[in-house]
Amino acid sequence: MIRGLWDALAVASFLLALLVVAPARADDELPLLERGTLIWGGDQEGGGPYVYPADDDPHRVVGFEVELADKLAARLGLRASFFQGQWDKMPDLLRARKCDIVLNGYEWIPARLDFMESTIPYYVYGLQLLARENGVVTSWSELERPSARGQRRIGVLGASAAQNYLLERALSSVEVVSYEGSTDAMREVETGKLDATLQDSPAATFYGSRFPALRAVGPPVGGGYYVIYARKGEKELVRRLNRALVAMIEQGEIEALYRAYGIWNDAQRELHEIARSGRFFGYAADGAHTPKQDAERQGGERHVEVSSRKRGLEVVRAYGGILLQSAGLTLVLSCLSFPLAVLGGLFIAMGRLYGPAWLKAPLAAYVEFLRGTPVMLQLYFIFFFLPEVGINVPAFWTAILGLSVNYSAYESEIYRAGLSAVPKGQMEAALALGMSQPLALRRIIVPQAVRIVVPPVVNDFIALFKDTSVCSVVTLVELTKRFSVLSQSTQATAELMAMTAALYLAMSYPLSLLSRRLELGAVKVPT
Amino acid sequence: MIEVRGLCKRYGTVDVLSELSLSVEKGKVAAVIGPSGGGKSTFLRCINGLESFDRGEVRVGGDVLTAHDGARERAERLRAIRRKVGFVFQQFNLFPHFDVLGNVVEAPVHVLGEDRAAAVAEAGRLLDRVGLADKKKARPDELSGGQQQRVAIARALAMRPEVLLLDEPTSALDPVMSAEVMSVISELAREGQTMIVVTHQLGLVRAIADTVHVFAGGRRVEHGPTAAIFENPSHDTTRAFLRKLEP
Repeated sequence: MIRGLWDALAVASFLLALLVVAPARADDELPLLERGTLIWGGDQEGGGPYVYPADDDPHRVVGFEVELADKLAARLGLRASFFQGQWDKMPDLLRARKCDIVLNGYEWIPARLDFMESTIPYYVYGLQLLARENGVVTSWSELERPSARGQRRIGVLGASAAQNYLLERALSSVEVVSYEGSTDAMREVETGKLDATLQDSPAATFYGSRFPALRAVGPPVGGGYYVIYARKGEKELVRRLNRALVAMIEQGEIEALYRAYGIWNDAQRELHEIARSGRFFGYAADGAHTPKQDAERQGGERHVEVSSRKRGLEVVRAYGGILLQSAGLTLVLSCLSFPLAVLGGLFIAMGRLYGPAWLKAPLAAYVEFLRGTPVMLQLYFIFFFLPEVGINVPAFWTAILGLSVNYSAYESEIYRAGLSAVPKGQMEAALALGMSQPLALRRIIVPQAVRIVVPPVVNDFIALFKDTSVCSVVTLVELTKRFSVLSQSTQATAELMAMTAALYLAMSYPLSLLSRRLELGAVKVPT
Repeated sequence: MIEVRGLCKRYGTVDVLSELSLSVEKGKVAAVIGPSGGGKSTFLRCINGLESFDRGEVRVGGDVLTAHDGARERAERLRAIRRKVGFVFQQFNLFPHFDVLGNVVEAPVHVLGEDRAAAVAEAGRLLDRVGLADKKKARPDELSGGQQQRVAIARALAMRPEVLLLDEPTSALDPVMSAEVMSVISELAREGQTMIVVTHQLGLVRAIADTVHVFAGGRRVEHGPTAAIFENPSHDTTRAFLRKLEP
């Protein structure tokens, strides 16, 4: 799978981890039993039918993988606990011990076995091409010929098997466009921005009813196996998961579950063969499966339907609460990290202007380094790399640390400018009155500098509000991520977008007002 | 009271101050005059450590500042000297974020640790003395230049300095405001405040100075009792300078 820089980083950190991490433990004990929970990683932004927010209570996740995780955990004598992370960062989360397993439509790919352990498959998927009814894409074969009407734009889930499938084939008339969630691409096909989308068969089946304008083009292609990944060396956990999977397959529990979600098809019979043989060798199953979309159903069986699309005020009622809650996290992240950034920035600026000579070069380097690298990379370093060397910072504190350290660099430059703008005579007058330099800074210089820097600092605070959205890489579901998750699973994008924007505005506009008041000199320093 | 001996300061190859000496007795006023660029202000700023010097020493009461003090030693001695020496700047340098009263009580409260109420009462007396009792709540930018300079004098006096250094206190002011400030300074002289004043106002010098020191090119070219210097200057530079200011 092509994951570019992150892959390279992951491999590099993995190699480093090999040098650091302790040797494997004895074979048949399972340390998870002591804790009692099986923490499984997934991304609800991926949407249905895998893991997605429940209709009646968006705080709760549902989906066939949620039920699968519950059943597997129960068979292991554990309680399943969902861990939200960004889909393409799952292997990193696993390695950083944030979760025990990855169970989220992760394909069986030989390259992944170099750094993770894999179970036998729990689902056999195909890749379904979906296009607009009466659209320009009507068959696979026409995509292979150069087209007079230019390139066909085909949307895929970023870093997915579908993306890989298209890129490997390098079809001459296809431009591959990658999206963060699967239903984004479906909607874009509906609105005409994309010509088609290639989706894993469960998503295509599950969301079919939401996008009546789409229809399947040809039989599923490519395809392969969804497997559960565990940390390298966790052989005992994988052995027990395999045993549980085999039992669930043979007892028909898997079939009942998949039928409930409408994703059972003939291709799943291969699961029985694997269960019977007790062994699984991965192989490329290119075009081998021709699943029958509508397997006959037995009476009285459970059926999970995708809910009808909510509209207007209905969306506000259903998701206003959870969006408000995520806005709360955004607010807490900003309000905790910004004062730290201000304090850090002030000390850096004073160190650079008034500190001893030896301190100036390191402080300048600190500022340049932190300003010159993306905050996302810094968060990534704290969250995924530091655990390799034994420092495990929880997601929330990673975000606070990362944001405040990053912003302290920007803040310090503002204060440096502000402090330099206070006339030299002010420091001289203070020193001439017998003040020490620290006292002069505290009483005379800093209060004057603060007024000069109020507008740019408030500006930075507002920017930080919006920058908290990068914290989704460290598994926090703040306002923007919540918007993406809900938008993927409900398609009520316009309403959610308006609500999200309103919430951001409601948080940042009062700051602008405050800034204006401070500029007008409303703040007095006590004498 | 205050004694400066053999002060030397170089900027690169230029001697800004060379072998400058000057002493003032308690209760006396010394005036430093001379052409611009003669090192007068630099000399005054060396006394309270706003500028460093390369050779010589400054002695205020029992405290001695030399060119060779270590950093920590220098900081300690400077603080001791600065508590005894008040400084009035040409550009006033009032603290714009405090009102007039705040400017005056700042150092007594935060440097000397005086009780705030007592400091406020004392500040009231001082502001009364400089004729600004009604401006306590005004902010510096609401005052004229002359009023600002009088607040600056009150602010320096609030530390009860043994010596007051005034660096061209009237140069930034028009004649009317300049007169206000000069009358305050004359009053201080009458009350026996030890002072060194750098100025171009020869009227002020005649009125208050006990001794006059003429600086030119970083050297003290002539010094003596005020009357002697004005009536019978011995040096060409002094004669030329006096002619220029009092034709």
